[in-house]
Amino acid sequence: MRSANWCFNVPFFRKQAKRFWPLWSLYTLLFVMLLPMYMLMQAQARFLGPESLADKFQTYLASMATFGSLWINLFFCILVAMALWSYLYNNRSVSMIHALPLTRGTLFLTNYVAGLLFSIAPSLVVFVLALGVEVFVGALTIPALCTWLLCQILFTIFFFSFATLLAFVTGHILALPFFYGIFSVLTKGITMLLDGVFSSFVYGYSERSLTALDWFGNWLSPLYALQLKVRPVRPYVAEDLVVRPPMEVSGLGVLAVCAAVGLGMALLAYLLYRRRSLELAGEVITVSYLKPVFKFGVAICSGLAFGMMFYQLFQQFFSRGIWSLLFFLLLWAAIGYYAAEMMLRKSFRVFRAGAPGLFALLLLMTAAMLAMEYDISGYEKTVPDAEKVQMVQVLGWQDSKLTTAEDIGGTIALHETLIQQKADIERQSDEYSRNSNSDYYKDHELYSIQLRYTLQDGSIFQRRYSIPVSLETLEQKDSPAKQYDALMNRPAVRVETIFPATYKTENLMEISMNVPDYAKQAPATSQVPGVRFESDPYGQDAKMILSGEAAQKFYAAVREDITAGRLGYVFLGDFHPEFKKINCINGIYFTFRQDYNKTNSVDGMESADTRTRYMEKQDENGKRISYYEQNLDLQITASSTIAVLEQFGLRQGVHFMTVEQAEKSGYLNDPKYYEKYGYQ
Amino acid sequence: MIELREVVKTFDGTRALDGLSMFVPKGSIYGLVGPNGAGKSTVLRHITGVYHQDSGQVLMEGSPIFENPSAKVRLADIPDELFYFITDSTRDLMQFYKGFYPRFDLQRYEALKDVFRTVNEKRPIRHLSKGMQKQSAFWLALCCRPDLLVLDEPVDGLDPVMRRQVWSLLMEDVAEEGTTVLVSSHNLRELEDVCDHVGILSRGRVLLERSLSELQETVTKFQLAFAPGEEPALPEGLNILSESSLGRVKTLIIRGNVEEATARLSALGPVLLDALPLSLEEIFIYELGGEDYAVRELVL
Repeated sequence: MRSANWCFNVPFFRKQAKRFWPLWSLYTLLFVMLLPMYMLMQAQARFLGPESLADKFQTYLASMATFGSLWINLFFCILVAMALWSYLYNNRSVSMIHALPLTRGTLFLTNYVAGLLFSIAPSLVVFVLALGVEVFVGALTIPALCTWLLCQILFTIFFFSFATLLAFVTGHILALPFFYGIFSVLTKGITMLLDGVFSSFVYGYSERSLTALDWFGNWLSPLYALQLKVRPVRPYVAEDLVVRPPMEVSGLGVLAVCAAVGLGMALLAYLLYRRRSLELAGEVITVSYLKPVFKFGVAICSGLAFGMMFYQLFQQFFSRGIWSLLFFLLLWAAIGYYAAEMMLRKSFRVFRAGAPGLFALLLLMTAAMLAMEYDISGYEKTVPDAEKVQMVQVLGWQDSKLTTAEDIGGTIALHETLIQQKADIERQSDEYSRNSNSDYYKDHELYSIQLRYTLQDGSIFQRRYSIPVSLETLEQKDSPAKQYDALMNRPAVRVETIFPATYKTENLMEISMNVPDYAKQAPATSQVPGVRFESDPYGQDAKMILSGEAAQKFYAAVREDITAGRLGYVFLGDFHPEFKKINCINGIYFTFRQDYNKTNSVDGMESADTRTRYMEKQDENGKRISYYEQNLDLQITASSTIAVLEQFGLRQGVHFMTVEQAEKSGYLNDPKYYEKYGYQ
Repeated sequence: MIELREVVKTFDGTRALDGLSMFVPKGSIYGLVGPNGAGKSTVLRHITGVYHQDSGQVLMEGSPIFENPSAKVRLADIPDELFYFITDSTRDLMQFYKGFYPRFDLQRYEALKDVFRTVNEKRPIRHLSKGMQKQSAFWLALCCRPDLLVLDEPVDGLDPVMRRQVWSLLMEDVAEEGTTVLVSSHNLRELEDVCDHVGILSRGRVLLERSLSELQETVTKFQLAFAPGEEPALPEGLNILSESSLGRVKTLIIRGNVEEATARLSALGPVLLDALPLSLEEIFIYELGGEDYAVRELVL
């Protein structure tokens, strides 16, 4: 008997496939154009050999398997879910479909399988067509194609199951895409909003410093998590520095876990269907115990999002602080609360009935804000015990990694000063951000630093502070600015900051230093091997470029000067009286070759040292190489470095000079100086 | 055929069905009547397996209907508000239903083309008039050859000729196939012509449920008049549902045995005494009068 198929109903499946053919046809067409057709065009348009073409295909398929599949399936799956489950949202269709001789289980499974097949069947067709194209052009990339197909299937399972679960939470078809969009990034959004509130009102709060909150934000927002984790990468090749291996897809494990979670969501959706009260078609929320969650959730999110937005918008009219934020927060929480109540009750007459709940919510939010303001938890005053600290990173204008007891002690002392002088620092920070006098900024700076402690047990403790810097604060003995200045300018800290251990001497490729453009007149001045000059036909400066032994010699002198405290001194603000007397106008650039390693190949945003940003360029053979740069201003106190420069034929006052000398000579003020006066 | 036992269904705190019990005999045409909001459509949606009761039982020949395809495959329904897939024609829906109802009768489908000849079977249903849509629904429902046909305001929108035609088809199925028909309607005059059983619903409960003949025997309208100056007190113990006077003529609606009531009223010596059968509409009104259904006086 045709209707006796208890778990899957063919006539119903056929009907759904026939009703929504434009949807899956469009999806098929889209992928036919994006994959086989595009690949064919690429093969026709480029005169590449089979190997290069296969490499191109692999790279393309890797990006299609990740970003392409992610975004297309994100949109397609919600459309499919809206189409297939639309019968749940209208009393007439509810009555018609559920009067058929089918159980809800059969209806669910038939529809669920239909939804998956709407995407998976076209993907299989596209896979076969793309394979055909590859065979035709002679560039087979079967593993990459299989990876693409796998990603398609896994993304479909996850996103369609996610949409299906939400379809059974709501009874309104327009609420479904709304919830889908919101829940795709909800926790990340909440985390960011909370980060914003905490950053503004919890002194020392560092973004993403609460691990649980960070985890909540990253992993419960599927769109964010998948985009972050499922991405194309270059695989690790130990020795090969120049030939790029083709792209692969990372994060397949995460995607598989998400798909498994998706199946769990589908099961949950089925359980909700079994208990669903069909008369609730048209309701925003059909699961009774989720109604309060929805109501209070909307209120809190509305309060956080719009409260913060209006607080920022109106802050020029209100005094900054907890009370004005609290006002906007509570106002928008109340608006959100009643909006949610109206949606749930389908009535505008909700004010009296909803008042007790709202009152409780506002009371709770006020209590939370006050607890934050008065630091009930002791968060603001907590400083780690020096003995328990393994290492501390001072991240800010220049990032340093401090491991010695002396440096850690210095950091903790700075940390304690920052806590003790909270009121003063907040006042100065507020003044800095509100001051409208441009002269004020000539001798005032505001540094933001993050103190990131790694404790002995491996846990992370971090805080973020602002440090107001001015001539006055730099002269005060116990000011945070003075302490920070002293900490950052310890020679050992300077060496570690400028040349971290990951910067290997043997990987030094070249060093360049900008010099006043005398190269125009004497382009081959230097007779020293490994020293050459390049003029800049458009700019004011030329470059001295060092390589080989010359570079190593110069590099050794620089390190010697930094270790001895003669170079690398950081001036907090160029208004520092010593700045112009010591700092030269010559910038020095060190280029290090980057080794491929697993860390930087898996995820481009991560590296062994977070301070390093990698770049790529082509070498003389046209092959790509990875490199990173470090730069440093020459300082007139750097005797060893200057001695080497003089050996290379450069002279103080001509080829290198302090800012003060440059100003006096007119170099900094008149770009045409050298055209008028020459170098002598 | 169909039995509901102590069924309770609550919507948002309101009891739509409040311990409702009813029984639809096999092969009967059962009319379900009641004021607006009495719970008629809710009852029908439980019988078609759409809604699930909070408590109680909804049974077809002893088996629960909800989530029971073997019971649901024996019934077809025509709801008050029809649903059809937006692009579907009657023929498309025939193909659809054919897949669900093993007894779907294609020969009958062809035969009924002549009855429903104003309906173009290939035209999308959304382009048909309301009456034609209803005809299309009847056409398909009858082809399912159901044991139970559940109809909610079935002939609403049909012209008088088509109404008669449809009722005639239904009566034919009842007579020849033993089909049970459960029909909810406000058109009591029409129900009176076709129903053999009636259930009156009020406030989520069945107020009374009998065969139409029993019902009409149970409640009688008496008209009586006395000689001028005489107006004896009515005998005690009579279950008088309504009492009104127009000049010297008094009208009484009495529930109970008609012979006994006639004998007792005759004993008062009226100059005029007539016992008249009540229409279903009158029974409906008088029965609900006891339920404080306010329209009673206006109608009278």
